[in-house]
Amino acid sequence: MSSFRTVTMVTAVLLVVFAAVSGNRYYLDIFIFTCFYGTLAVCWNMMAGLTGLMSLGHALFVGLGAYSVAWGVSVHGWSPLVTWPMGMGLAVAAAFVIGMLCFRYGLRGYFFAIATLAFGEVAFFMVSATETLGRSDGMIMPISSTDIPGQLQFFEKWPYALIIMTILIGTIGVGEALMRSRTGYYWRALRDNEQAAEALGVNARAFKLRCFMLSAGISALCGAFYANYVAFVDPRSVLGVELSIQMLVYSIVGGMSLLWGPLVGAAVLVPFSILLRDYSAMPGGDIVVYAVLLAVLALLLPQGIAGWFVSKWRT
Amino acid sequence: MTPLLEVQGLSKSFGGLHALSDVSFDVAAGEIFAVIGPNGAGKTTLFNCLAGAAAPTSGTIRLGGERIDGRAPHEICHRGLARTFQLVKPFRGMTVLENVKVAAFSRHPSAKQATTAAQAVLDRVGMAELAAVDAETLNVAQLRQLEIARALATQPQLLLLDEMLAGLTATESAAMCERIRQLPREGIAVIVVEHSIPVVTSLCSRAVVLCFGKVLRRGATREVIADPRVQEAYLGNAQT
Amino acid sequence: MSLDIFLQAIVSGLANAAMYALIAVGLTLVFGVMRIINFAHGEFLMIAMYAGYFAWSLLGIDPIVAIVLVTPVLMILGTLLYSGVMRFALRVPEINQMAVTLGLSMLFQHLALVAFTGDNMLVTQARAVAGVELGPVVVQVNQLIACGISMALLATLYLVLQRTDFGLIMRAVAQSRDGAALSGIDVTGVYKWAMAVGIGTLGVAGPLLVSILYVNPHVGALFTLKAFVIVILGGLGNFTGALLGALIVGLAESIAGAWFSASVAAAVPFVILILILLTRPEGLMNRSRRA
Repeated sequence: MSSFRTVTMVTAVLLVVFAAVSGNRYYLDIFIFTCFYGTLAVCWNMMAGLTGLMSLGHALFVGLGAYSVAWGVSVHGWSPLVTWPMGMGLAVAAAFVIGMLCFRYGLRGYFFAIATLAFGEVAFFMVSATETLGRSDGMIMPISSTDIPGQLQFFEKWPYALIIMTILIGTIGVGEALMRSRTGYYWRALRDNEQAAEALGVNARAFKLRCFMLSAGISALCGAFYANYVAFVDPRSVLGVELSIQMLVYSIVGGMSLLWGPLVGAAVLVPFSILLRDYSAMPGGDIVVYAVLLAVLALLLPQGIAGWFVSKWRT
Repeated sequence: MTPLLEVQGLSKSFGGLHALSDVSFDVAAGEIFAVIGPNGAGKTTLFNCLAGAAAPTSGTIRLGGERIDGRAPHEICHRGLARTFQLVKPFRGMTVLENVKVAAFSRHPSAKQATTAAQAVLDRVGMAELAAVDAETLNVAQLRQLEIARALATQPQLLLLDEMLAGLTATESAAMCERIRQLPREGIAVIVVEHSIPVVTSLCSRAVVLCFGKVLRRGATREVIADPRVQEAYLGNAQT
Repeated sequence: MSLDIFLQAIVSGLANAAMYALIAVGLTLVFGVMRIINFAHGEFLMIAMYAGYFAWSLLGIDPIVAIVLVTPVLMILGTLLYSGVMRFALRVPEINQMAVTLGLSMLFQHLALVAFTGDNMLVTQARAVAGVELGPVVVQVNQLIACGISMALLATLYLVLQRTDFGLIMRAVAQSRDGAALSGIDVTGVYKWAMAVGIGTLGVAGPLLVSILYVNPHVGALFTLKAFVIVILGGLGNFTGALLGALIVGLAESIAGAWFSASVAAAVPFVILILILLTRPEGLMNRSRRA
């Protein structure tokens, strides 16, 4: 499938779903969160599934984006035009530093995962202790009763849906283009056999860093969107290890060998868990169901739903 | 004329273990050179040092007059030294062509040019009809060929081949030897690590023998093989 | 900071370290033998803590006595975990192994939430408020008991691993699965025992801990993370390394707690972990594997 076709198909599906749910605020909200988690999972999997770098600290980058927006607007009244690039810049810089440190010492597999987890946890506790960032109570962003497009404040939900759809489609587009270029080939080669790839002229550290920084930048973009949409950030929702784990869950369930696999995982699990949460009498019932699903799928369907589907399609 | 590869006083130790000590030899352009020695003599460590996978403890390595010791593997690759691995593992989920493409990207950054270059290399090694095959389904001989194709796609001046004949049938070995003999005519010098003495004598003009990390003998292959010390080192190895 | 507060911090740090060590050795033992990091390790501790709590609140059993009941139950859970899940996890890629144990961790947390609600529960006996004064420093009686039992168990485990055939076989499998299998060792049996012992140690830790610290469904996650820090500090799979790691984490956390706010103190173990991973990823006690 050419990259153009993948992007067109994803766009078409998104538009159809958007058209179907746009009349209903509740369903539109589910759609927006599905796109949000879908984008995060796709960019997380660029590292994990396509380059072989499992990060358990991606919430750190989402948090940088979200807190940049929340702090910028509540303390200084800055526009998203300032805070979004600021959040992304901080995240890319953080990924650069963390990546330089980790790759220099050759951390991989479990060690890279746990190192990133530790960086994420440090950020979590530090923000929880910082007065100007609202400590563990979080920050409520100023909301006015009228729409302020310049501050991305809308009463209606559809403008948010359009923004996150654009981010998602952009991510898939950039990802698909990269996968067909030298970068994508190098990433997959590094995932499989770093030593062999290096012997064939691949600058392992540079290409891993590139992947990490891109993934972090997109995560921060999503975080910035989240802050503007929800108008409230706290450490648990945007910096917690649970958020990092969610990205892993959607990727495993959807399929890690394909760029758009994690999107399938999010599209199945996000609406499912929101509906289950809202309509089931059992608190935490949604997580029980998808924890079981995760463990079972990880063991029995290692290629994920999308991977399974594609392999069935080809044979 | 300066030799293509010049190794001087190369040593490598891991903790207290001296894997290589004071190894010196040189390889001329267009030559097929052999590194022989019993198991554990330090042949793979030598390859790792040459290709940059391990940094030497001391000594110098010059490729075309420029020092490459301690440089990163990808830089050494760009300077024209390619290697194969004893244990051949193709990149998972990629076709044969895509595997070679990864290597071709080192000379051709654009995907289109890399594809063309990779196809040309597959033609050259006679694997063109396997281009679209999933690399994981190849047999041992085909995997070895793929390994050579990948190395050639980086357009090396010097190619290090690590036990390319192990596990091949007689016919496959003969074909592989023929392939290796071609390389100098394409302007590529070769260093082989090989156990089979007849293969070494038929392929290589000169050889160096390593034993416990030291150079036991160096020179024309026939003389080296005839040396009683070399015979003893080999027979000693054969008995264990 | 006065000297008294500092000394108090050291003493409670040491007491915590003994518990941490007990929790971490189980994790490191399982990793050493099976090369799988169990992200649900802390949830088994949580189960053991609830077991200790209910033994006391429903049956009136003293937590120290409850150890004798809870430990076999946890050992059985360990073998069930092996035959039900880990056995299959050995065949899938590392990232899927992580996903499986993470899934289990989420599952247990939320099942506990459903079964026991999110309320904090604690064993409150008369001796819970009793303390022993050592000069300027006060040590809770329960901490002393937990510390003593924990050290006794650690010493026993150490002797078993070093001196018995069982320990020798464990170490052989840890070094080389194939080598051990070739020498006729029943690797599957060893895995099962490693899980039984690794999870079983939590059966001792749980009841002891629940008389010092509240149990709630999320308490395990906290300990899983701390146990990670400890085992990586000491070197994954290294028994004595885990003891050293526990000592460092326990002391650092408690000294930082005397100085800074609770949130900052909570970040300290992770800062130490990052420093260790960047300078000595093989851990303090493992031999360098890098050339």
